[in-house]
Parts: sequence; structure tokens; C-alpha cells
Amino acid sequence: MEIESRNSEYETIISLENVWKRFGVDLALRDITLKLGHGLHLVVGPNGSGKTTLLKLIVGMIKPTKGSVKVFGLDPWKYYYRLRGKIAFAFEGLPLPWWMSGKEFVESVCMLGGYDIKKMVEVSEDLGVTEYWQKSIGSYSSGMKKRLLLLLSFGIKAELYVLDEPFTLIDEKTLNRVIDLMSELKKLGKILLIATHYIPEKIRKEADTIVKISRGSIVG
Amino acid sequence: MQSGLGLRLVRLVYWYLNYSYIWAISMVVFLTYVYMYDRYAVLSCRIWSGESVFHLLARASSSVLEPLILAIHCSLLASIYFAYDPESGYSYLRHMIGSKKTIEFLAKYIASLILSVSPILASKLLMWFVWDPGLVLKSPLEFLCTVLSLAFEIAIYVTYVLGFLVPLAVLVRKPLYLITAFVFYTYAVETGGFGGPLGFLQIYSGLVTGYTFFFETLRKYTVDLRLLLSLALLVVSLHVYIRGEVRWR
Repeated sequence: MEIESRNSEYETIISLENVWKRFGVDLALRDITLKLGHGLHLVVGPNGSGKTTLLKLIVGMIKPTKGSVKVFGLDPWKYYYRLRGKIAFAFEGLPLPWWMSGKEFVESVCMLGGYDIKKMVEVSEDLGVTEYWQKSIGSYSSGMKKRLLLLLSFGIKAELYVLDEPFTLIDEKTLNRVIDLMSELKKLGKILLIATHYIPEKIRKEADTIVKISRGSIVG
Repeated sequence: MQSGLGLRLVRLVYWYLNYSYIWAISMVVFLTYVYMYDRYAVLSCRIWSGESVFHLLARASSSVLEPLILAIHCSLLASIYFAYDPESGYSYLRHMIGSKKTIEFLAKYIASLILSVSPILASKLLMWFVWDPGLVLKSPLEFLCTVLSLAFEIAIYVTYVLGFLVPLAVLVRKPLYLITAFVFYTYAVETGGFGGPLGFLQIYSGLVTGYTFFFETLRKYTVDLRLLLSLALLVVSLHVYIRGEVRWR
């Protein structure tokens, strides 16, 4: 099944054509064709349906077994370094450097990637990360780690925000702030691609596209 | 603002130097080198005609076990940078900061060089100062030249060892297995009467503690080196460009 964004008047930013992804003998994605432009897009589906794999292909972290992936007209697997500053991402369970504090890690990412630290500080106050970011990452709870990962995506001035399960593991106050941040980014004309199980009502209303995935295929 | 390639490399090297407190191991290894030295080796050291005092000091401030400790230290560095780092999923940082795979590899190699060469060099310098601080201060230029050439020779040895270890780390992927297997191999095989197949003791002796110019040693082991470096290049390229995917548990 092919999916095209409701916002068809805009140019295509993310384009997947007949994409297959195999991990050993397991087929994670089967013949995915997807075109997305500006706006807020949701990828929904049960556990193991291939949502995260789809997002990892779009960021360029993994290579498609078959088919082509283009983001801003570039192959993200080959040219992910040219997409620096255009794509910001947060994935569920990404390992964080336990040997440093959250603040040191954020500063390192800004230094290495050439990102604006002021923006990071602003967003960290918004998400309540500044309350604990002096502590060692090794002592963080799952929710604290999640907020730090969200900060590392929202804190970057990008065009495309790729977020994997951004609504889980966080408290209600942070959840509301995350939803507000998403709405603000959408109003600014940014592209948001979100993989999730749980869709907050406000996000459902604002979504331009809802892509349903099951067993590695788009079903609606 | 997009920073230059050189600056990005320097920053990435700095990141890898602090990676997982790996620098702390270098401190421990430094103390091991200092403890290991036979302080009276200089008395039994043969003096070559025309040999400079600094060269004599470089040879004398060595221990037989030094190349093996250095090789084991390299195995630890290789397993952290080339097995633990990609297998735990930390490579996502490359995407976050927009750094090329080759730059990441180069930064890891440079960090490995700095972390492995500095403790052994520092321990030798400490010995020199303990023996004769006056001599070191009297000819600072000669001292500096000897230190630089010594650092260069040790770096070549480290490159040789890493040429074997990096592809192994990429293939094995499990740091603990790699370190254990390598320590057993080094102890059981490389300390044999005629040396091991990789010739750690002979190459180190030729490069660092011997009186042979390093090009002579390189020429002597050129087949091994060429074979090993080609294999390393092949395996690393396969890993980086074919597998090289960011996965985490």
C-alpha cells in the first residue's frame, strides 16, 4: 500500500520506494512506499511491527536491504553527515554515556556537532532537565534518560524531527510540554515524524498523516 | 556554524580520550611500566660505538615484558573502541554530530595511539630523570629528538598490533572474549622461545630497544606488515561500509 501525505501541495521531504529491510532471516519491513512532506506525521503499530526500523532507515542509521530512501533528496545511509542540522532524532533506549553528567553530554554534543548551546539550555529548562543534569547519567531513571534524549532532539534547530515513542516513560507535566513543543514546531513549518503506540488527543487532531504498520507492511 | 574537518577530528579525539574513563587504564599501565623496569639494566646493556647517551637510555629503560604489556593495553583499547562502542549502539553520536565514518575511525585510532604511547613514554622519561636529570637538561634538543623518535617507533609498533586487533575486535564484537583470548594468546604463544607468529617481541626489539633503524625493522617484517594491514583494511572497510549499522540493545 502506498501512502502520501495530506499536505500534497508541499514538496516531498521523505520518500521511500519499495523498501525492504531484512535482519538475518527476519523481514522487518516489506515493500514500503511512502512519501511525506511538511507537517506532523504519525507512524502507529503494535510492538515489533517495524516502526523503529522505518525511522532508523529515514535517519540513515541502517541500510535498506532493497529499495531507495531519500530525505531532503539525499540517501541518508550514504550522506547522513550532510543532513547534520537538518534532522534531529530521539530513539527509545539509545545508550547514553554513563561516565559523564547529562550537562557534560549535552555540551559535548553541541561542541562536536556545532549546535547552539543556548537553545539547548532553553529547552532543557522547558523539559525540566536542568533540575538533574549535573548528576551522572549512570544514576538516571528511565524517565530522566528519556527527557535527556528528547532534549537532544528538541534542542537542535532542525527541519525534520524524528521521534520514537516520545510520549512514554515521562510524567504528565513533561508530556504536556512535549506536546506543546511539537505544536510549536509544526507552526514553525517543521516536519515531525513520530512513531508511537499512544496518541494524545491534541496530537491526533494536528496530525497530517497517520501511517499504520503491521508486520512490516503499511496497512493504512 | 559548520566547523572544519581538522577541528572536528580534534574534538572527536578529545571525546574518545575521555570515553568510558578509558584514560584511567593508562594511569594504571603507567604505574605497571614503572614497577616493571629493571633499574640496573643499564649496567648490563651493551654500548654500541657511536651510540648517543640518550639512545642508550632509551634502550636501557626497558623491560622484556614491555612489548607484551603494551600489546595487552592495545587489546583493551581496541575492544572498547571497536567492539564495545559500536555494539552498544554509541555510533548514533556519529549521526547526531554529522561525522563521517572515516573520521570516527581515524579519531579512535589517534586516541588509541595517544593512550597507548603516552604511559610507556612517560615511564621511560621518568626513569631518565631519575637516573640523570642533569644530562636531560644539558642537551634539550637531543633529548627532544630522542623522545620524538622513540614516540614514533612505539607508535609504529602500536599500529602493527592494532592492525591485528582492530579486525579481530570488529569480528568478535565482544570485548571480554577478545581481551581474554588475546591475553592467553600473548602469554602462551608470543612468549615462546622463537617468538610467536606475530613476532611482538622481535618487532618491538627491532623498533624500540634495538640499535636498528626502524626502516630496517619494517623492511625485515614487511611481508607480515603488508599482509596484516591489508587484512585490517579489508575487514574494517567491510564493517564500516557493509555492516556499520547503528544498533543497540
